[in-house]
Formats: sequence, structure tokens, C-alpha cells
Amino acid sequence: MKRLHRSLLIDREPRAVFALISDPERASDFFVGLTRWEPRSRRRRGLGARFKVLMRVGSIEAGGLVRVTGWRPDEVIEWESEAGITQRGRWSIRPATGGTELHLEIEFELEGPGSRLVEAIAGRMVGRNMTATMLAVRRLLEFEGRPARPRASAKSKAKAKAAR
Amino acid sequence: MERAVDSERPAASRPAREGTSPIPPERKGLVSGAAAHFEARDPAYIRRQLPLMWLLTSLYFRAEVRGLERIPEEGPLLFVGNHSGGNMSPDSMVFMLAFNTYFGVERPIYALAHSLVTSWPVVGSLGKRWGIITAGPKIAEAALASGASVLVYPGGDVETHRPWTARHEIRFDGRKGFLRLALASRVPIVPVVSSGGQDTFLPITDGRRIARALGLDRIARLKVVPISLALPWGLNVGDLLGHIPLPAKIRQEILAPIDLHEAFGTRPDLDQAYDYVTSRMQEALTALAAERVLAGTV
Repeated sequence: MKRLHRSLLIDREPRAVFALISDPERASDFFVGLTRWEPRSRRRRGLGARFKVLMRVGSIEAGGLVRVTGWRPDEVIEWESEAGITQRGRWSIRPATGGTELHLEIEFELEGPGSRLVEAIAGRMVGRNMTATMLAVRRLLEFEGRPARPRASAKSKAKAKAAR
Repeated sequence: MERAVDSERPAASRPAREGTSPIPPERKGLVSGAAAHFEARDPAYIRRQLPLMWLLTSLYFRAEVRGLERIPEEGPLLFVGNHSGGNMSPDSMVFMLAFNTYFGVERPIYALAHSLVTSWPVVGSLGKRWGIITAGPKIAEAALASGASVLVYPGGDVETHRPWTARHEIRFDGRKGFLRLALASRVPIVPVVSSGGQDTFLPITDGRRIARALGLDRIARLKVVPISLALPWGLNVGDLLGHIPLPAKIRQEILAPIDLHEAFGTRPDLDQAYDYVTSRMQEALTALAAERVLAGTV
């Protein structure tokens, strides 16, 4: 069993973070290495929703069918594999000083000869993808989710003062 | 459908040598394999072998497989591939790994192989657990009818032992059985194009004249006696014991499915369909070959 964990502080409200990571339409925007996160059930979000999930790992795309097993708005999303590679994942969101602490945990297990070695090698690839995923979430929320407010120039400040 | 007219037809679209089947009727049952061993495919075994296969394909062959998303999610399909690398072709291993990890071992797929492969004592029995079955039209039809997909390499021994100088050619040798199979089973053809396998050894000649002179066509359904430079033998004649493949980079691309009825009507002209499928594959192979800067490495 390979367990991986990444976390990052994001300067946004938990609600905004949850809205992004829980949106299956946007999974490919931030989940680095993911080649597919497609709904496979009528329910597209929330407990019980099923997805076909694939990630490029070396020469292949590996994954399978996963089901959302835990869902607490603005707090937690958990999933488990139903077919394909045995895996479990969890997003957790915690309010923190300066924003929101976002955690991503992924566990996967292979069987057979060479499986421990492959878990170690593939684990490094998946771990790098997870790190890049956290950075992508932060980029989307902090820099691209909302346009930065332009700094007021001295001229516009004077204009505003005159208007008052 | 418009087709390019060229006085010099590419090797891929050369017509077949006309003639009757070289296999005597009394040997046909033996050669084509009476028992298909469908039940021998073992999903749990395949799942356990995936890590080892991944190590081999990712680290040794640095394989790249593209276009898996073009494969329909459901239903039986006939995968038609080109292959290289002699009797140690890495192409089917790369594809079987990619398919089984992409769709899961639960989706059944069988690969057709020469009876010499399936009858080998160890390789044959392990291969059957992966879903490798003895090539034959009836067996393939039965597999497709059961809802499974089938992988076939129409070029067979002629293609996989072609000389290194012809490594970027689709060489089906005019064999159209795969078209008849797709039409009879009413399944789409999904081309699987591979590049790099012929850099895993150095095939000098396919020895077709030697095979004809020795009558191997009639005896063992072999059309070639390949001569190559390969590890650990040095000069390797026949490749019957296999060889150690060099770590060449393998690139594979899955093309969009071809529905023969849709493309050519209810009674398709097989020559036209053959030219169409092989041309599509040749275009893709040429594009893949263009990515090879230095043979065997990148």
C-alpha cells in the first residue's frame, strides 16, 4: 500500500476551495496528470457519485471506476475504487490563519511480483502530480479565479478625493 | 470515397499473392487450434502481472501509448495492429498492458497468435492466461460473439521479421482475413499502430525464399526463415528460441474506429477496404517514425 499526502495554504475561503475541487467539470483544469475524471452515474456530485478516473503513470494510463464515499460540504470529499486499480482518495479542507488549509491524500495498492517496486516508482510520479495539483488549485483560486484589483494611482486617488 | 492514385503503390497496399490456402485440410484443425481456451483467460492473474509488465514497458521500452480515449467504451472490437521485433515483439505486450490498465482486467480481450506460440510449453500456457489464443477465423468469431474484443496482427511472421530497412512499413502481405472477420462479426476495426519494435534487434532478411524452398509454408504455416543479428546469439537464424530485445523506445497510437459497413456500404469491396485500412495505418506509422531521432533511443 502506498500512501501519499500533500497540503497547501490557500488564501481563500473554504467555500471557494470546495466549490472548485468538487466540480467534476473542472477536475482536468487542476488535477495534474489526470487524463479522465468523467461522471459514470446520474448523480454528478455528492455521496454515491461514480467517476471513471485515469492518470498517466509512465507508459500507461491507470485508474478505474471510483465512487464518492464521503461528502461534507466545505470540509471533505472521499472516494474509493470499485474497479481497476485499488485506490482511495481524500480532499480535506480546514480553515486556517491566512486562508484555507487544503489536504490531498491518495492511497493505492498493487499486487503481484514487482508490485512494491512499482508502487515506489509510480508513487513518486503520482506524488509529483499531487504537488503540482495543489499549486494549480492555488493558482486558479488566488490568481485566476478573481481578477486582481488594480492598484489605485495617485491621479485616480486625487480624483476620488475631489468627488467626495 | 476518393483515393489517391499513385503508380508506385506503397508496400502496405500491395495486393496479395493469389492462390489457395497452403495448409492441407487434414492439418487445418491442428494448426488453427481446435480448442480456443477462452476460459483460460484469468483476470486475477493478469492483474497480478500488471506491475511487472509496467516495469518492463515503462523502464525498459519507455513505451508511449496514445489514443486510448478513441476506443469505444463498450462492445466487442477488432483491434488490428502492425507489429515488429521478431518472435519477441514488445508491441502486443505494450498494448495488452495499456488496454488492461485503461479499461480494467474485467473487460475481456483476446490476442490471436501463431500456433507455435500457443503450443510452447511455458510461454503458451502463460499466454493463455493473458488471453492469447491460437489464430483462426472461427475462434476469433466466437471470441467476438462472446462480447470480447480481439487483437490481431494480420502481417504475422512476414511483418514481424521484415528487414530493418523496411521497419517503417505496414506489411500485411495482402491478408484480408481481418476484414472478413470484422464484416462477419459486424464489429468496428480499431487500428493500433506501433513504431520502434524493429530496433530491438537487427533483422537482415526475412528469408522468404528459404522458407518456400524448405516447404515450411505447408509444414508449419511459416512463410519466413528470418536471419538477424540479435542477443545473445549474434547471428540468429529462424528466431525460434527468441532473443533478448534491445531497449528500443516503443510508440503506439490507437486510431479512430473504422466501421466497414458505414465506410464502404453493405457489400464492401475487400481490396478497397484493405487499401483504406492499411493506408490509414501507414500514415500514422510514418508520423510516429518521424518522431524517432535516433534509432532505438528516442
